[in-house]
Amino acid sequence: MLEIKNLHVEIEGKPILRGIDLEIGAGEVHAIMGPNGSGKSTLSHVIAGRGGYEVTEGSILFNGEDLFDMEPEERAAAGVFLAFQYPIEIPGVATMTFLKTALNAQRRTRGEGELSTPEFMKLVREKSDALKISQDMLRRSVNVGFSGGEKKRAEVLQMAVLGPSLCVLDETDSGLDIDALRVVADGVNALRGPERGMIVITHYQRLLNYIVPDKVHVLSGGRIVRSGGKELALELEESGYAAYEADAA
Amino acid sequence: MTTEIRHTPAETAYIEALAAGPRSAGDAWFGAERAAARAQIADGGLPHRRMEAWRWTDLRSLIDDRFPPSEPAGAQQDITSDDVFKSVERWVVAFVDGAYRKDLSDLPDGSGGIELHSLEDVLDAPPGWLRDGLGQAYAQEGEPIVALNTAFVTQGLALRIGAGETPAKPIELRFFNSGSQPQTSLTRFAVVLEEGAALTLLESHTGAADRRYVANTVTEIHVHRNARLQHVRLQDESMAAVHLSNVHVTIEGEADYRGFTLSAGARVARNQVFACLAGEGGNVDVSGAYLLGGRQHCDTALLIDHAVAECTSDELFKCVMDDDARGIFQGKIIVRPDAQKTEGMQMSQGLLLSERAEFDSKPELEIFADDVRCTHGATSGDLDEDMMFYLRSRGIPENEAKGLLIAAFVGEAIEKVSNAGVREILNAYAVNRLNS
Repeated sequence: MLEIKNLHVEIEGKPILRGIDLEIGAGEVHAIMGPNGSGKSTLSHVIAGRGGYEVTEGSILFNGEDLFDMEPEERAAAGVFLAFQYPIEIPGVATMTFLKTALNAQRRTRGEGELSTPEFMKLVREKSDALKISQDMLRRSVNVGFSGGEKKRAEVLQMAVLGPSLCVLDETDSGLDIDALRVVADGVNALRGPERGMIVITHYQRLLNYIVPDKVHVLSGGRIVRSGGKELALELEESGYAAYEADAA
Repeated sequence: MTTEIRHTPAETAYIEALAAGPRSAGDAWFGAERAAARAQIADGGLPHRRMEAWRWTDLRSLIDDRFPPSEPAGAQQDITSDDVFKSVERWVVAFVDGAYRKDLSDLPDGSGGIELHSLEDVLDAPPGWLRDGLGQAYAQEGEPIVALNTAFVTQGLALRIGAGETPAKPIELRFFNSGSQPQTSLTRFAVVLEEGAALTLLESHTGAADRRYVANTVTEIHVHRNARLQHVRLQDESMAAVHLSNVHVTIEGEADYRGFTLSAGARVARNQVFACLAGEGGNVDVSGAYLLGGRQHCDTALLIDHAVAECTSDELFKCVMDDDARGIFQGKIIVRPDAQKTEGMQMSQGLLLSERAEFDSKPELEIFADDVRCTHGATSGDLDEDMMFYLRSRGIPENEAKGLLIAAFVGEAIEKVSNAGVREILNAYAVNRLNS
């Protein structure tokens, strides 16, 4: 589903990613772990299509299509979703309006009909109940005045409503207490399926107790320095990243 | 040494109109004010950049042709397509090319303590409250837009809401300019809310597409003790028009005046609001939004005068400028020595959608009391990149994302309008304008 080949990325002339190779198949959950500054967030932003990054080498294919030929909104309509580490507050745009605009824009792009308001409301109610998101929260402006936990639950709600085939979760565990983490992880796990791939980016192993990955990769100095099964996460919990940081330097 | 004053064609047209013969109706009532106004026009002409309050809006260069005062229009004019507030139940008083049009109006039935006179009908025999009131509202003396109005005006409306009365529906003043010839339409309004009265006053200003004209309105408002006026204006003049509007308002104790203006039309617009908090416990809110593109120029100049203690004032302006448009906000707040416990808040924000667009903001505080809380701020910037990426990453195309953010930006100011139906119209108007 996702093939990243020899990806090199710079920000203002400074190399951040230095040759990433990664393949995610449908139904697989990959965790990417690594110390701060290793390039984890850059990787997620480049997949989603944020500006300000210069790809100097390499490619990303998504279901055989070159992602770099697509605008962020086209990637979204094709099935790419990034759950932000720091979800953006948008004063004056109600969460419900935002969700509906996004879903219908994607459906239009894919040549599907727009959902009627009752159909849409039913879908959102179903998904928001599971994530313990109140109707009041949906009426408020996007992420404005939301607690850290509410913002992350809202990200997962967007993911559930939009139904992407590739989910990239960027440090979704940051700033969450254990109860919030459980709600968010349950929401993510409910979306696991044979048609859907996931990249779970995290600094800590803790999240992976709840979202158990098929594969774990260690990112350091802009390269994947080690890959393994889920037990690799536990090993990192024991040993820390020090050994890998030495490698990278 | 004498300096020869060279008048612009616009000034010359006004001066010729003065010479052509004074409009004598009303002279027994405000002849002295009219004579002073005529002298001011003859001597001073139009306001220009060397006057500090007009440094950004030089009418001598911006009004670039002759626009003599209009004669009362005779032709039947279909203005139904310009009915911007049509989904709101309200009464309508219509003016076409500056002339009152009873045939196009839907007048109040006399209930709700509404007293209403066409100005033309009462010029020679005004009711007492009007005779004592007109020309007396705050900060008129020497004001150049008032002078232009006073020199020529014969049309307008006198509106009074009786003590303790709340009319069942809003009243709309509806202005349409055909621009069938280049001319200046002039109207004058006196609005008095007696003690404890409440009213929503709407104004719509529209014109025939791309026609050139000057529209001038002066509104004098007196909100008596405990009364409440909500005053909402939607300005969508022809894109070739000049819109000059003044509001002068006096707010007595425990009274509220809430004014809101959406400025979307006109090549050149100058909105001035002069508000005096004259009684303790009074509140004033003057807010607005701009939706400008092309070479549009819109300048709002406010003067909020805290004359007494324990009053509040709020101003919020959210201004969107695209292409080569220019937005200006000038907000002056005076807190007099007696005006202790004043609370004043002012914010103006410009959103620039093009590198050539411009926003100038000039807050000005003159505080002579010591126990006050006044804040002001001004920002100017383009669309937030993080917000844009967030919306696009969810599948919302760039233009639609822009539209959402711009509508949200002006929506914050439109929130100030408390009438839900009117608020919806303004929001929808903004969204439609942005999508067109």
